[in-house]
Amino acid sequence: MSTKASIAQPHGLLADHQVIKKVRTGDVEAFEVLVDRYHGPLTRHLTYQVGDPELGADLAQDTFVEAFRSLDRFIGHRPFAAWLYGIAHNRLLMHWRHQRVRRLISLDWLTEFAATPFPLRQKDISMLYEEQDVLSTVFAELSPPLRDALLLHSLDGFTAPEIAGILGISRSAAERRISRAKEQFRHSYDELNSAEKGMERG
Amino acid sequence: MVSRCRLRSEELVAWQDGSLPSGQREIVEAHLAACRHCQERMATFQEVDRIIEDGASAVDVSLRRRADLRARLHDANQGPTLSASRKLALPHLPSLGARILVPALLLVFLLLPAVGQADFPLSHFVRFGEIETTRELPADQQVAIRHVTPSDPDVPPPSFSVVAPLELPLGLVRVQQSTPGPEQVELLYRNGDDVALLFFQAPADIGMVKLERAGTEIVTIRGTPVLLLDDPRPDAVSALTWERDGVFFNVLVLEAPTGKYGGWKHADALQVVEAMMTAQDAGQE
Repeated sequence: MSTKASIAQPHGLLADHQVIKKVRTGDVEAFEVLVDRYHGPLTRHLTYQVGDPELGADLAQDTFVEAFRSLDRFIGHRPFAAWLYGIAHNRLLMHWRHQRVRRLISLDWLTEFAATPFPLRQKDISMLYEEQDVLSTVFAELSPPLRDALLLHSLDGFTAPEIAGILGISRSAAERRISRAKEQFRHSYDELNSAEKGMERG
Repeated sequence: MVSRCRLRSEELVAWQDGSLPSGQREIVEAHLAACRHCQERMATFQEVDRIIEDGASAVDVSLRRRADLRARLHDANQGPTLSASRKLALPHLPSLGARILVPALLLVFLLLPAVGQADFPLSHFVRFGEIETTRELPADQQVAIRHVTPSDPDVPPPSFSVVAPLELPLGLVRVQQSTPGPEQVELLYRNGDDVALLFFQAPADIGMVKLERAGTEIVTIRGTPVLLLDDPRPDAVSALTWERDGVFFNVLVLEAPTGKYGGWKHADALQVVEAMMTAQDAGQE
């Protein structure tokens, strides 16, 4: 991970590869160190992906269980964190295939708002969704490939080459997604803030 | 004279990561020092990072959740497979059989207020989504799916004009019709290419549609907005919804050609919708 990693390694604990070595030699309890280290950040990442804290926590659990079971397949030439997030990414893809987030709204309402400048950002629209902060709303508006890249880069601190490995894409594709995601994020974030301020005044 | 900036955004990302080789790094830095446009772009990237880092709330992973994870890791260590009850699915569902079937039934449960039971072998499972069954269920645990909810003999006929042509394009033929509840009609259409469509009709004042954050699009057919839900497969549709002339229509794809490139295709779906509208205009039944 880059030096700007937001996942801090607690001082004095073993490095990831040292923990894995212990687990492989039979000290299964040592895996808890990796859980302590990555459970919070991974759950946060997955929560922003799916927009639901409970579901994010479920997916994080599944990821750790799969990582534990597959530890003998982990090859040490890439960081454990990137490998773990790769498992999480695959879990997320399975989730999107099996389940979709649905909301029921009136077709009349939809037709009425289809012509407005920000049809999905009116306050009464957002009220039909679960309570979301601005960040969650903006993330939800990004396409999944761009959201993946942005969360991994800006939230989790992975570099573009690491993101390429996690997502199974080329390095240049990862860099393009990151730059496009940030540009779109900024645009949407500014628009959303302007719209909300306009509604507060109005 | 202003020269056109040729620095690609990807190079800015790589520079920000610190992953550019040394020669290229100096070139990018020199360019950044001189190019206002790229300075603004880099400022945007850094501002986005700051917004996300500052704004993303810390996750409070409850003790219960950590205990759950410990238990699952313990189970994983004990045996080759996890107990089915701990697999991620919809944890409130009571049975493994229900969980395996939930992905395909999800649209049905959400669309139809009452779904009955009938004989429907698991091997003929609906494939409009990429549904993975982890194992074959014993016959006595297979949850049957009824294509059409049986009619309720006590409900009066619907007050709206039901649109139920005998035939639709693509060889679709109406094979079943029922009135499962007050002001509800279900129609099942099938053809010889393994397509089965369930039409649900109700008065338009219900006005319910499904909107997803992704995988939803609206097309206009004869001036009527029609909401399409995408199938994960390319150019395929899993459901459609529209309201027209006092009637709410919802079409659920129960069966479609299987495989990675299968599904009920966009163009076919729009053709069928238009035929239903024609039938409605003609007052056919």
